[in-house]
Amino acid sequence: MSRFQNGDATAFETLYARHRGALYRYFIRQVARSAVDDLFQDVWLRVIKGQARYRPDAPFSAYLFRIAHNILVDHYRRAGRLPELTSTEHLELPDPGAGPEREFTQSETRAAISAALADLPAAQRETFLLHEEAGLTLEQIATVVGTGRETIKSRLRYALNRLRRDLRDRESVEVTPA
Amino acid sequence: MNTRESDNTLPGAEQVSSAYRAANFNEEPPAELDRAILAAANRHRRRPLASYLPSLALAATVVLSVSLVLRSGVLNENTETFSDEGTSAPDIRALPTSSLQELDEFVEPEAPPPQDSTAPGAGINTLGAVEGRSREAAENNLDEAVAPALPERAPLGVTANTAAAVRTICSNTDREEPAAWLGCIAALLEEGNEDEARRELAAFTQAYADYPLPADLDGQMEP
Repeated sequence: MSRFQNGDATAFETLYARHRGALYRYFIRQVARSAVDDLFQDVWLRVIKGQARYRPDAPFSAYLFRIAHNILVDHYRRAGRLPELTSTEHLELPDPGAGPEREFTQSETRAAISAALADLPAAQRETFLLHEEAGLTLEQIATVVGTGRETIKSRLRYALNRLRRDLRDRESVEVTPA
Repeated sequence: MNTRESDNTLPGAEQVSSAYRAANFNEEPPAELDRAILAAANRHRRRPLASYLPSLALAATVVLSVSLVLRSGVLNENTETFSDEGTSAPDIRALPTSSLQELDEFVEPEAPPPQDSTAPGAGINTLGAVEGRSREAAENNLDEAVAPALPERAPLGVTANTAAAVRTICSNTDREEPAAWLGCIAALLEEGNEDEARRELAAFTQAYADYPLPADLDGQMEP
């Protein structure tokens, strides 16, 4: 980000390539598919236009997902309700490069996890995604969503418990008890 | 992925993480969206200082020359000479606009962009319109934002039914039975109903100040 601030055009491309997938999936798992592109684009435009204000000592991923969180909250506000998620909306077409047996298993796993995630309360779902997709620590997640670390730990623990239970109930994903 | 050493203590974290990774979610933004964002970044790229130096040097030279000529009175005394020779003094107003703009940009501090709302209605082809929007949310107080945005939800499918069930359980909970009361609080937390759980926990600790809280609740609820 510092290099981008100093006018290095390739620096942004590197940053973008590194975080685009995680950010896109962060939105895909939380809002209707039709809104994903706009929200995703909004985040990056704010990064671009706010480059001068970014402090290089702050982790970029936390900065990026804080913007994303704010945009998500604004989206919820505008919608006046929680997103119209359906668990099957997030499923992807099979990867043609993978073998049929493996792809079948992955498809099932994706379906099961998508359904389990869609059933989570929104705050727990976001915490889980910031942990899994963004790779943020509990402290970073707390900063991103503006709450305490213990609250985040609690949300994550409940999310993990529910996901493990849901996935076990669906019996299509191998999850061993803790 | 970052190091998350302290998170490993969470029960079931590794199993669920493994399952999530095994699912291999790999959705990515469409190529046209990538192109639009990279183009916007390129347009807003801050130019390095060195790129301004030639324009700056030229502008400074011209301004200095004009000032010297005017101060020395040469212009007043030899107006005709200047006219006759066809070498009129350079007028700063005649400088290339771009030079002046670049100088301004270089000297002046960056002003914050205009504020507005962030309605994400614009498509990929309307980047210009979207770029005009503010950073309202990025500057918002997150505490204010989260509360109404992630309310006690009446959300999706199974969860909605479960939430109703929890409410029923809690409404019938016997407050004289601390264990039952704590079970109700844990159920509220599990449903993500943190505000109500906090209220119940506060009432509980007031009623049973010496009652030991289970590990699940002790230290998890913040004021």
